[in-house]
Amino acid sequence: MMTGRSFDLMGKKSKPVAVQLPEVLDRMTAKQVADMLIPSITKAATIEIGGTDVRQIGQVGLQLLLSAKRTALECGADVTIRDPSDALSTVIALAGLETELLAASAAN
Amino acid sequence: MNSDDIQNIFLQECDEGLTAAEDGLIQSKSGNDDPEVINSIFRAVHSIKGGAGAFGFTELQAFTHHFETVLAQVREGERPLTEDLLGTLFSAFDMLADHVAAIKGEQDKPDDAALTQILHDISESLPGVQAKDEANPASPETAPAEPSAVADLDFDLDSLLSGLGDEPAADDDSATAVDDDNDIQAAGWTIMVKPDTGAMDNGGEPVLLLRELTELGATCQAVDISNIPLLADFDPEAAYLGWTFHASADVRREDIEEIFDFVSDVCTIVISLAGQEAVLEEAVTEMAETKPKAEAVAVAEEPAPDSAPEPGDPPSVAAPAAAEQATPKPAAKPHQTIRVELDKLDRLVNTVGELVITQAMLTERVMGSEVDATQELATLDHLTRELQDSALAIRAQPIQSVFSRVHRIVRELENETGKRVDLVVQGEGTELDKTVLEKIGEPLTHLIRNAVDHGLETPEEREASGKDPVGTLKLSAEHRNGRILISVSDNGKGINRSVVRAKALERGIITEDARLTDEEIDNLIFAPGFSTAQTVSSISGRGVGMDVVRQNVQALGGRVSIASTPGEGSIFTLALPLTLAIADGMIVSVGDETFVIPLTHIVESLRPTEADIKSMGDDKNMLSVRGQFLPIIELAGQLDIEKAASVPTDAVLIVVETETAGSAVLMVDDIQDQRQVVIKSLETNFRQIGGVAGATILGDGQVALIMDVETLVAEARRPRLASAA
Repeated sequence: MMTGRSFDLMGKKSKPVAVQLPEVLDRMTAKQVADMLIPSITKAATIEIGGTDVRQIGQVGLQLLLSAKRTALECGADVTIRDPSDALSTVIALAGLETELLAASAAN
Repeated sequence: MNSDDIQNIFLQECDEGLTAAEDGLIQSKSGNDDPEVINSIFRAVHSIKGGAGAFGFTELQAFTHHFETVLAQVREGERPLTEDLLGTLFSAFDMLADHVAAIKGEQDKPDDAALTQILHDISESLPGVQAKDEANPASPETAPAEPSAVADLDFDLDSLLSGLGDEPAADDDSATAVDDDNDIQAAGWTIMVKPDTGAMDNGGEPVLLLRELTELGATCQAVDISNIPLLADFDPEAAYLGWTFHASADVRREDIEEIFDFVSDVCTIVISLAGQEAVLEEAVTEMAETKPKAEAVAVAEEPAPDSAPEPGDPPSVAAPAAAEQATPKPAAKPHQTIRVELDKLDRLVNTVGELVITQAMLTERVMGSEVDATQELATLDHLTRELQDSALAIRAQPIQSVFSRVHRIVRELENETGKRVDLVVQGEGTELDKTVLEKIGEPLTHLIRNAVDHGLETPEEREASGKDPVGTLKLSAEHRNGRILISVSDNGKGINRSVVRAKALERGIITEDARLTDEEIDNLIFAPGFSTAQTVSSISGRGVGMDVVRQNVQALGGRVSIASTPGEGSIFTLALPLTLAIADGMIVSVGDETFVIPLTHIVESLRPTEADIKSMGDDKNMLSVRGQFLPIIELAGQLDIEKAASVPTDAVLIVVETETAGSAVLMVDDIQDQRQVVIKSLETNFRQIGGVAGATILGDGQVALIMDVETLVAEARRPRLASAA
């Protein structure tokens, strides 16, 4: 199994990679999104996660976004969440995770 | 799992809650003043209320709120649990059960207006209650009355999750109250929420809990993200986050607990006074290390405004109490259960039945060959019996589910008749097959009604005869000799045999010159159409009840008997089989036919000498058994079978006993074997035949009929009674 620590920090592309979150980010879709994010974080220096379509998200989705943030940090990449939908923003606020998940995108 | 499945689980939990609540009420009635008893009632009602709200059952939620409010006052020691109040709580419990039954579609929605008003008046009669409710905007008092809020409660996980995009409703009153008292705000509650792995199973969503907390005015103080893994190790099934929320002291502890009612087994929840976080963190850590199944354990006392810690109080003053509360109890090994569809169990039992038949066939085949497999066959027999016992044990359920309904029946009968009844229940843990259990409710209910209506006297009558004005009705169950005995006994006036006899004469059941024993007179009340009630009431006396009781019990392979003493009371005893699927039987031959006689009826079997037989003329013979003469019933003659032994001394005599027809002797040609047989219903596969209880498949593949000994003996003895009559 590939682990985060084995990520190659070299050869990252400077062009941002965009990954769009699905409308529903739950246990069914989280693994697919994680599989999409892993190569992006490995290869790119900047990953922009688009949250505009998100209609439904719960704890699993939040955990996935936090995991992406942590992985990016380990790999020397930057993950930002762009254009979070109202549903996404509200759940992030409910969970007290604005600083962890939205601070970077606010800066953008 | 869809919302219907989840709702079904809620309804099952309602049943469990009702059982717990009624058990608690009964304990309170019997004088148990342990605070845990009232706590258990409160928790059960509170839990039902929580689920009712989640599923949009507004009437149930509204009613349980009023019920719960009164219980809370008792629990907090604000209101004594008087006999009158206990009666009201019992009525409220009955109404609650009616609400649940209505949701299940078993009855119409009950009219709870009058009782709701009574509960409301009781709760409001406590000084300061109204003010307390008004000061607590999060009180559920107003929740059920808000149509818009209620309408949104239809249980739909998707819409609920989607709805998370909406801001929680503003709670202006709460904010004002908090601002008014910064000292209380400074204390308040600290709530630590740590969903466990499994918290998101079956559509569970912990974020919904956070939303409910914010709706109470709680705010997120910290999020523990230390367990978040790298993406490569990310498991979508796992829960990595933990939260610490703060709520003001105006929020009731119950309201916080209510949020976690249905997740206590999949979330670690710690609620305590603010300022005790260190103690709580230690408790959470300890729980995580020791608890196999997380559940809410550490709950401190409610910080009522007058007891809330002052800002200047040293933390150590409250710490020991909080620590004591927060320290988890030693984790007991959880009693794990799973819910299994009954169809699956039925298939299992049927398969085991087929296995028993196949085993018998195999045994027969092997024994007829030259293969020496005695040891293997014995092992197979042992394993088959174990498997069979295990399969039947899964279907077995405590009779408590039936007995628990009796309390309500008795309460209603007390109200209807003016009689006073002390109900004593014993052996409610006795287990019997679910099929038997489902069918025993109706006959048992009628026996109870009959005992109160006809057996027990009014308080005045009892006092006049020197008895306690409160009659005793005892309901018990026990295993005995491979059967379940359920008895309903009362210390009332007993059966008035002269009245019964006169009524039987009037109805043409017996003739004027009938010479009947006391037992035979008592048994007349089971005759079709018999009734001794002076007036036809809604309680009993419709003239069909006791007949139906006997029919239902016999249909279950059981028997019902009476023992009555004038002036002292009566005992009705139901003897039921443990299961309807498999029975031990004696395989006998009559002519060319093979029959099975259930072992439960058999006393002994013998080959008689001429001296043992006494002829009564008309081809009737009696067998002398230890000084007692019993009628010999020739099965061949009874069943029109040819080529069978016609002389008792050439045959085998089997002494049997019955509940209602007394003892008798069955005459057969020979005994082939004694073994377990799988009972196949004749009604299902063919049609009902008098004197035959069912059929089975023997080891050689032959179908054998199982004798209904009760009916056979009764039929054979009827001419004697008729001639006596």
